[in-house]
Amino acid sequence: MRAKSQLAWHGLRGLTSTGIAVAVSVAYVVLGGSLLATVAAIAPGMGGASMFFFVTSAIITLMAALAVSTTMRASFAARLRETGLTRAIGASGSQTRRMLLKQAITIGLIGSIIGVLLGLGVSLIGAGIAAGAGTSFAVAMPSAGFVALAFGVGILVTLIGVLRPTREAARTSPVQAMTSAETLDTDIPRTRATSTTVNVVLLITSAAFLAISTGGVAAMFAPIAGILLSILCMRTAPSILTAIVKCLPRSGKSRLGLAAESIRRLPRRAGALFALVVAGSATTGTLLLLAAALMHVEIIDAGFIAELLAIIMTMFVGTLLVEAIAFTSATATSLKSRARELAVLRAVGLTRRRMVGMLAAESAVVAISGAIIGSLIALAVVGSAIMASTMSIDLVGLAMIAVLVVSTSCIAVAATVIPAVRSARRSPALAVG
Amino acid sequence: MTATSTSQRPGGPLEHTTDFAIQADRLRKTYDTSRGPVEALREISIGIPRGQFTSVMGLSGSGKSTLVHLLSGLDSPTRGRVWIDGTEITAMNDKALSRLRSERLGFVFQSFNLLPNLTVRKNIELPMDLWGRSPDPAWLDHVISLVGIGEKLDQRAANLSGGQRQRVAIARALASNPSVIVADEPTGSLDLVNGESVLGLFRTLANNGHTVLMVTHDPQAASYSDQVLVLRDGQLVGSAHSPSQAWIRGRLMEGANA
Repeated sequence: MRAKSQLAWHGLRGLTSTGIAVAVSVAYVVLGGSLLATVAAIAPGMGGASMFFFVTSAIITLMAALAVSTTMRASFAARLRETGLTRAIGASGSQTRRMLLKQAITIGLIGSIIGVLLGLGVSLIGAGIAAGAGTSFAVAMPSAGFVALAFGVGILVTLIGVLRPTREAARTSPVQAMTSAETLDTDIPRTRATSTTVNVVLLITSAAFLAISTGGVAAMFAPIAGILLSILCMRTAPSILTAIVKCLPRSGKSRLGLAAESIRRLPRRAGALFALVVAGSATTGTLLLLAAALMHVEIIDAGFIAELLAIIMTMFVGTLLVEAIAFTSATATSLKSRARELAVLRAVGLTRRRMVGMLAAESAVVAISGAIIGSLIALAVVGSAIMASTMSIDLVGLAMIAVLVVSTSCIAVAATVIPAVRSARRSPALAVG
Repeated sequence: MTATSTSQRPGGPLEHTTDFAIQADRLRKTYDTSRGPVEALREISIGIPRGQFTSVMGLSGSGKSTLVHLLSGLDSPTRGRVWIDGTEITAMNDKALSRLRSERLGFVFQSFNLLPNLTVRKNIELPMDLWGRSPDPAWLDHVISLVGIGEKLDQRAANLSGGQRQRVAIARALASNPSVIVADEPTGSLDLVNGESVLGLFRTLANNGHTVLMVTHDPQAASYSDQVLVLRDGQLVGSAHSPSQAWIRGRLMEGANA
């Protein structure tokens, strides 16, 4: 293999979590298409609901673009030295940018294909379960056009997400490669977008949208408010996390204290995962609440409700599965870039068990707070959108939200423990030399 | 200069004496690679004298870092046993070993390995903080003045120069007042002036009763130590008290061209 292509291959592997973010978004859109086609077949008159699903897909797309951007920046930050070094040995800024762009687009393509397959697979499983349970209707597959749309969404998400990270990475000064004696403790570079004014405007606009979106066509404003609120959460993720962590114990004695210290130290690194969980929970929560609320639309018999619930639960489990994959990959990437830091902590006296405990507690803090905030956004969006209608958020909807928060947290912790145990097994001597 | 070979006794197990801070008996380390096993250490039995400054020397790939990692519990040997202060560490579980590293050993690395986003003070307190303890204030003051970083305590480690970072790393190693300081190429990333001042610090520590164990490939750096051990191809090929640089060069180069 030529040196250049070897470098590119190495880069692709570093972008795994980006690819998964793309795949998740594409799978979501495909699943949305399936749900949409199913609902359309059951209740043809629900045009408003389908519009709602399209807007929800738009939210997912935007969030995924942000997730792509965040994971890519994290990956490039971890490879800062390598990028600087290629610049130092003669690659121009635009050459470097082209190389990174190529890697990003390849990962976007692969992610989109996997996303389509995942979405179709979960829909098929749902259809199989529905048929096996002998429901009165079939779970419909998304139309070919919808699948094509989902694929396009994946590519679009990648293109939007990659612009800033590649520009930033290409601007890396060659000097950085020479002077940074350590790659220890790399945080994602600070964004310029920390302007308070923008954040306040986002908050006021979304509050206004929520206030006016009381049923009918105006309900369209609710998901837009949801998008704005999620963007706000992503922009302020490090500050939100820092504030949450301040309420936790700080002594090095407890695993939670160690985790809190670690999040405080690098809030932007934890913020990237936090943003992913907020986006995932906000969209999944919106879909769940909406589905629960839809049950009140017409006079529906109990059998139909049970069947609808079965479909929703199948999709929900599929979504969780996709989230689990995303979390495992993101944690594995993050642990790789933290190998050195963890080795130092081990060398100066952290036991294996406490290291795994610390990493699990970190994930738990990030996932629980992210899932709660995402659910609150979903509640606000659906609550205001259906306010004037006969629909309401009932106990079923709230129970679904509770299940969402609990399962997201469990999955986040489980997804951390496996790579953490593997990383704890390595001897601390290997990484500190 | 008195060249000796008494510290290597491949024949029988060592007897424990309190004269040694660290003892090793027939240490072997084999790494599994894709091309089969590679022997990093073949069979080494040594004792690191208490309260002295010992340098481990060798060319790249001689196994010097591996040896020191094994002697300090950072890695575990394929075969053989290691004692620190008379306690066998090769039989310890992870918890006991981690605690021992935090309390009895202090580590200094070539690339400093500070956490850049923590302040200098937090970095120094880190090893003890991991076990929910804090350093003795009087001792901490002594350490801080010894390494001369009093004015930098509340700065982030990322804002320090290389020489300052290594001083903080030494303060971190000393915070729990450990009996042994282990340093892996501590001057490798430093300029002449900063390197000499770091070596001077180690000399002072040894004079005050600490055991210092340093890996280096630099004969000049080794000249600060009381005892020099020379490794080649995973075996101990010589040891001497305050050897001349010519002797060190001779030992290092022997067989290199063969």
